[in-house]
Amino acid sequence: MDVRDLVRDAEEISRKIVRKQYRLTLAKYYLLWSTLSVVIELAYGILSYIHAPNLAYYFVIPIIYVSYLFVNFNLFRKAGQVYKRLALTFKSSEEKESTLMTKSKVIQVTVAFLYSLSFLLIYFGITFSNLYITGIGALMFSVLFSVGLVRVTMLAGLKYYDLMASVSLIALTLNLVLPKFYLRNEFYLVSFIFTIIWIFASYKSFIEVIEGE
Amino acid sequence: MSEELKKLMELLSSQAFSSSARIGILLALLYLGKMSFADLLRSLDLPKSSLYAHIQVLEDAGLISVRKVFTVDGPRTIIQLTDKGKEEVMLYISLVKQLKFD
Repeated sequence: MDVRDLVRDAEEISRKIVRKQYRLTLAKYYLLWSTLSVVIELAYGILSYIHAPNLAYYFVIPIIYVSYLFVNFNLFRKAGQVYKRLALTFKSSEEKESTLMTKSKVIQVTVAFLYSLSFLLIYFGITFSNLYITGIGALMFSVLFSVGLVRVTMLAGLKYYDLMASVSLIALTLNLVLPKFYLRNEFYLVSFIFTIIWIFASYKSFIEVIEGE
Repeated sequence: MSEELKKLMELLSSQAFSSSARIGILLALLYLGKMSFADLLRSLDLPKSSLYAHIQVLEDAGLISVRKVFTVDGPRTIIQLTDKGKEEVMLYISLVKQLKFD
């Protein structure tokens, strides 16, 4: 085999492995997030059934959200690390490498801070029925989430179900700032659509890995 | 023949770097950090015996480490680059980059 062909084939094989790994990660990720509304409603149901004091709602619900966000942040952080390694293959000097590592750590801390801030704004905005604060939090979360998801889907290869998942998430987040959100039936409908779309995206991602589409 | 090309040819003449599948696995391990044998098998269109043979060659060359771990999904074989492996893959990348092969 010609050296050029060997090099090209090797690069193609490595990209294929990375693509499949990230598609599998996305499949698990979509499946996890599709359970969010069910878990939240279940928590509300249980708390209501056991006549838990109001304080319990303020404690249990944020814990559920933070757990999901932690998984979310962890996935995006790992995707960032893969990007970093891909970028390192194009840097040769040690100086450039260390600069890149430092930059990456600063970005990680900043993103973690912004995620926490957006979550707090949404939480307090909803708790105190303040649309303005909720809106800022929702906007921040949408931007951070979209950037993270684009990064992951670029590694996995962007598919139409990734776009469907992103649009449904943005719709769900925007729903928080609409006055109709406070009529819970509207929120149930959007949550239901979101759940169905994310289950579909997860299913298609798993199929893509299994059947190698 | 340039010095870089000579070095690359020398590297590619070693058993570990003589196959595009093995180089691809090494590059993927550099990008992803570590992988399980099952994940690698799923990602490549290779029979299990061929993948096992490639892994064996890379392990014998000291470029990767293979260890068994217990996870919630059962025992898994985890593969990752050794320090020597990282050095050699980075050398390969720098040579390919200099020769502008891609």
